Amino acid sequence: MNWGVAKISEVDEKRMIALSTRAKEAIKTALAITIAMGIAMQMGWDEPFWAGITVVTINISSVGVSLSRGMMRSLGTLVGAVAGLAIMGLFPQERWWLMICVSLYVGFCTYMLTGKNQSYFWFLAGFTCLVIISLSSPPESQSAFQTAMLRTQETALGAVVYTLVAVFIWPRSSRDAFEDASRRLFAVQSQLYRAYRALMRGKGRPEDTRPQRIEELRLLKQVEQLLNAAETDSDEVWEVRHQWRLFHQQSTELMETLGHWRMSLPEIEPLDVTRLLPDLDALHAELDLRFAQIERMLDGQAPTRNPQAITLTVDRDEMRALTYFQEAAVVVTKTQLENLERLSRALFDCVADIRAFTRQAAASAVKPARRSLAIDPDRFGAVVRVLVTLWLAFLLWVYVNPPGHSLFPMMAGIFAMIIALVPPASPSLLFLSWGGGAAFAGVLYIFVMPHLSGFAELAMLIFGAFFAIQFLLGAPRQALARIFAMVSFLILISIDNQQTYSFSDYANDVVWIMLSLALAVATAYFPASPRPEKVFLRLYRRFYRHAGFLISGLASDGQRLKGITGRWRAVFYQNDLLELPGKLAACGQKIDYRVLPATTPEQVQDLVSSLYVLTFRIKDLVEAGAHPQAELVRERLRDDLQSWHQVIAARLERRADDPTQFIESSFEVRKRLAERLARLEASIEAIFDQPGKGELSAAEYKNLYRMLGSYRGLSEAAIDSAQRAEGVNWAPWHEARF
Amino acid sequence: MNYVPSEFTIGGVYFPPLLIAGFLGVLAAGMTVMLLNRYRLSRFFYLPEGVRQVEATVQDNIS
Repeated sequence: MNWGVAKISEVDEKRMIALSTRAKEAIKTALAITIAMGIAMQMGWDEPFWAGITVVTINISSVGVSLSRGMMRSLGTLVGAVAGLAIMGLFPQERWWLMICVSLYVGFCTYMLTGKNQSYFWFLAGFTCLVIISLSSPPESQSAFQTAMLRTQETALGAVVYTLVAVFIWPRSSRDAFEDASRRLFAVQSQLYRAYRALMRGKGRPEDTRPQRIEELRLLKQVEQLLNAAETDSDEVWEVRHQWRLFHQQSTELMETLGHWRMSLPEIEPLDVTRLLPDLDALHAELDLRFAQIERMLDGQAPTRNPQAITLTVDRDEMRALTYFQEAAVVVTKTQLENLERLSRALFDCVADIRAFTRQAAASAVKPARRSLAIDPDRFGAVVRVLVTLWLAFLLWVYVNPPGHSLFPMMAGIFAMIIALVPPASPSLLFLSWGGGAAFAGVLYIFVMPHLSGFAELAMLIFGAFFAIQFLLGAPRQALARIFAMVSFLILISIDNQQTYSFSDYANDVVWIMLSLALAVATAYFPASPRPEKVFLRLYRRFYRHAGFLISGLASDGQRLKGITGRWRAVFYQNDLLELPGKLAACGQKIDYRVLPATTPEQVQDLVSSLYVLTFRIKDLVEAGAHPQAELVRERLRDDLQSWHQVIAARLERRADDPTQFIESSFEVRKRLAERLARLEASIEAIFDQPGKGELSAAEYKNLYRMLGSYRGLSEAAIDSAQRAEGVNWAPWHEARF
Repeated sequence: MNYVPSEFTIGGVYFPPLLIAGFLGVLAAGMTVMLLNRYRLSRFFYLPEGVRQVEATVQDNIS
């Protein structure tokens, strides 16, 4: 029977349901917040906005990422609640001991949240403890327990509601994004391999590969993040998750091997590598086929051939015509190519296992060897700032009693932890997003909410408000501003079952929240400016300081690395040195280059790339030093190597004072380096010319070449880095800005 | 007579004085920062060399 409603045509129907991704995400978020708060109010729970805050903070791009954040939030809340109750139980009437204990716990959580793993869990564990203790002031065991339980159950409610909405309404899986990123990563690595192969034959320029190297690093991180998400929201990925972890590990190793190969190319460029390594063409042909087969398998197609074993040999006759340094360069290159052969075979097996094209299971991912325990100074700095903020706010509460009272130190501590979690969140972003959310909340709280009656109308308001915020701030780069605006809005509209309206309460809440934010922002500038260019300069100085210390300690009379303190410092500096280029790269991307005329982002990226190379060379030298050298070599080369150490260490230490200063022209340094190389060559010839004493075993030869290659590589890398630094106009970097 | 304002009203609505002071303070700070950065006025600030050295040493040892 026709009810008088015209049937909608298929074209119109498609138009009606064609919503943008941004609109869909906004609907999902608004719906989840409305349902979560509705359930909390229906259950008669106080502070229903905690359930809403959970939805706001776990709402990220895909179901998998949201699920893992939801789980981390729930676990972190539980751990924080237990810690808060335990601390309150230990010191219910001793405020100073309570604060000391809270400081130790929050400091530990802050150190862990600034790391690479489970940072969101540690953030929740830390800030939930602050919330439980502050909201239970004055401390009373029943209210503290009720607050802890309420927070835990509302957090779990928010996580469950958002999970259900995300799974059943327009679910976004990470699987396609993850597999696409994996394909693109391997494609970029294949391109880099081919580019380096061409460079080896004298074709192309090394700087042409820079965009692909940057893309490779970016994709490697993206694959890891997407794998964490895809494991959770895709059964297909979950079943072969160990193999995908192995693929990521091998891709990382491939990146390092390709990087080492590229760094050794300038040393063998003048040589006829095809004659020195007769099987080189066959190896390259085999590697080409393997890379093509792996790309084919990643696209879902079966391989057409299996890898063939191939061995690289050296033509001894051709090698006799080379100098010792040239021989060392060939030996090092041969090692890199053999690593490449091994890795490509392992990758082939791994990808074949993932796609089920083979019955043979690939080896499991090896957990990376844990670095020795060493404190990261930047993470420790973040801990100091959070604790300073917490104590300042606590002392203000005790002696001044600002608005917010016991909530003031809580909020200041939370803001300080947020600034530690997402540096450098600029002050303007923090103030504008919180202030914007507060202003929006104020308008609705004063002019709209008093006219609402019943949950249906309130639900429409909540849905509309959150849809608007999510839609307007829906871009991924606006995620932080969106979260801040939503949380500020939720706190200030103060929804509760027993709803009351008080302008003075709203105004006082705005005051203490913004004051606590101001305090956290102010302490972020202590003791050094968090501006990206200032952070860059500090990290750059630290890089040379640590490098100089490590190099001087490797000398034969290296006293500084001996003893417990020396060894601990060596471990500490080595670990930090390996992290510093990554931190410098991240810093370089955040700099506002409009305030640094005559400096381009490309110049800074080039400089950071040269520091990566320098770090690898130092690492190679440290590893080469760990291998035993023949007694003859140690004795005869001691003076030459010691003078080399002194020159390099002196240059690095001068750079540590001010890495931006011009010391001397690279031409002069290269000239001195060439003279030292010639002296070293003569010393080595003298060793081998001694009758009966010039015989070294194969292992001793290999170690000798490795050591020589490391020294030469380090010198070249240091000069290259200095040259790139000379090209940057450093004067504006030192200028104070606010 | 105490001339320090302790109450603040707009249209008969009482506001916390700290809210108005804070809002005006943030506004003033923002404008000051914008002017200082735009005209590079930090070049005219005097900082004794000894203080600069101490500052650099503290930052290097802490960071």
